Amino acid sequence: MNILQFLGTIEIGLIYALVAIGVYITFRIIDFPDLTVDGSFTSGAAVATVMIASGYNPWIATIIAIITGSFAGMVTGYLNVKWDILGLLAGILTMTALYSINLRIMQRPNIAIMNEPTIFLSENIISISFIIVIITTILLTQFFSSEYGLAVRGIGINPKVSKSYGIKVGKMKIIALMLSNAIVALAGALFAQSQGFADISMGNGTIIIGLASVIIGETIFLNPKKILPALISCITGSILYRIAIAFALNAHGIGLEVYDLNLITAIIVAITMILPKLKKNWSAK
Amino acid sequence: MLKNLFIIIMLIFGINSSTLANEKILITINQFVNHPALDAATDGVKKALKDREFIPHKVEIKFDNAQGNMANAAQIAKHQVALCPAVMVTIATPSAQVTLKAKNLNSLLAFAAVTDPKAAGLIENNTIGVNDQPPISDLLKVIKQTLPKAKTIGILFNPGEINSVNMTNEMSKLALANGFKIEKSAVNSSSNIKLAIQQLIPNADVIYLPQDNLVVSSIDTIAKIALRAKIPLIANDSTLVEKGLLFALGSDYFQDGVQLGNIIADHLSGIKVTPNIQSTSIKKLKFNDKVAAELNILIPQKELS
Repeated sequence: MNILQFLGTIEIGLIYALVAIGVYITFRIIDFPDLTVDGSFTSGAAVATVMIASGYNPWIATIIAIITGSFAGMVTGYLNVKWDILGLLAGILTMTALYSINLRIMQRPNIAIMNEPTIFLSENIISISFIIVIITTILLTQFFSSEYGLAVRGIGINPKVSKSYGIKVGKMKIIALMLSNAIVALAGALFAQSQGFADISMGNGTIIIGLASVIIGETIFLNPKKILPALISCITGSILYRIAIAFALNAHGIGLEVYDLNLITAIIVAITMILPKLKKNWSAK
Repeated sequence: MLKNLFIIIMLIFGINSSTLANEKILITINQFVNHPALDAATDGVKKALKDREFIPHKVEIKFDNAQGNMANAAQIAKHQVALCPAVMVTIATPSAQVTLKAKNLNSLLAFAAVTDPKAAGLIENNTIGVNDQPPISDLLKVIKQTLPKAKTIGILFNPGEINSVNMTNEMSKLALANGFKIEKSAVNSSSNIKLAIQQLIPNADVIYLPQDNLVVSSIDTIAKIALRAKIPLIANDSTLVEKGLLFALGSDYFQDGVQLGNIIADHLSGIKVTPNIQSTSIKKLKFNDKVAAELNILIPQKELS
């Protein structure tokens, strides 16, 4: 891998770090298997691209994209909390509906903004994404250390006790889902702007990428319990996942086929997760 | 923990597996997903380069396939740009878009299997390409000739694919102008294909398949169901005819690839290419005799060119 490939890897890894953080909030903090993200990632991309294509300021477009994502999370939360629809199913319902809604937003499946101004001025995608990831991490750390944020974390750890302390479990769940999907939509908006287009299939597999990143990060950082290390582990996990793919892309020389990409990625990810455990076993002996 | 990270970082830079540093010109290919038409386009490019004697001695090919994942496609684009290729071949719209954004000024972007390069933002100075403008009005003529009783044309398409939507709109417009009725069925996942085609069958006399990655990937299922119901299938992609279509008129993706390969070869030999975005030059009408016999349809002898 040469340095340019490495930078490209980091760039996509940083944008998808936001997906990992979003997925972490639902899967780990409130223990809610949220599949909405496949839809909200595309929503973020769609809203940002359509607004930029119609001449809006890219920062405003990005903010509206974030708000759209939070609405998607709210719908999933509302379906689950108010109508008691299984969390997994509520997410699938919203994700499915979002496919049509995203098509409505975009009017066609692919919109290009190759020459329009985006928040990435020219060659600085990495630095701007890095700053956005850092700001998001700081804000989330602040939020989850506040009384309000602690209440949100409480409902994931023990909803019954939380309730007896007067925490509104349903409301907190919806807030966490809104937060998560807003961050994922931000990732979608950033990805679309860095690539110069939005496509309806952009969000396919987002949940898998996010979840893999979360788990890789947790394995490397040995299951962090505090919020800041946990968020940093998400970011690291996302970048490591991209590095695994970069390895897979470089693996052609040793007799592997192009079509083995997904397999090689999966194997590298599995090895990354097994190694620390092996090491632990060895040192225990 | 930090030690682990350090080891990983050392590994990343230590293993330098790209052994492409030699005298040959590098051409990268970024294909978005596997299906017969896109594979044919890639094969066509390679064939043309081989015929012009660029492969295997003068040119080295690096081929990657994003397996339908957008993030992978973007990463592949960056990965390929880092190898400083002379030409970056991209197959299908999303691959072309991610590569255009990733590439530097020195590389030339070449694309095939893109229906509307202008809407996709691909018209730039340093791009060449072959866009497939399917001959839909000619296809309608063949329908009138071969299936005089056909009144309603069913279209099976994926609203999520830009090529597919463009062709569906074009077909609807032209068919209505020619006195046909249109029945559309949208499908957005391969698990719904069966349902979508069964929904079309009672209402349509003939079913048109646009150049749609999802539909084309499920061509075997579609052909089986349609043939059982005795509804002929037609398309603009002649590579699909053997899969059970009655006929297809249009750009063969393989030929598109060959055309693009020749443009690239011209470019590499220093011949100036004009225009830099070309339309498919070949229209080919191809019938499937076996399906025609099964449906009791007489194939007209007159071939359309």
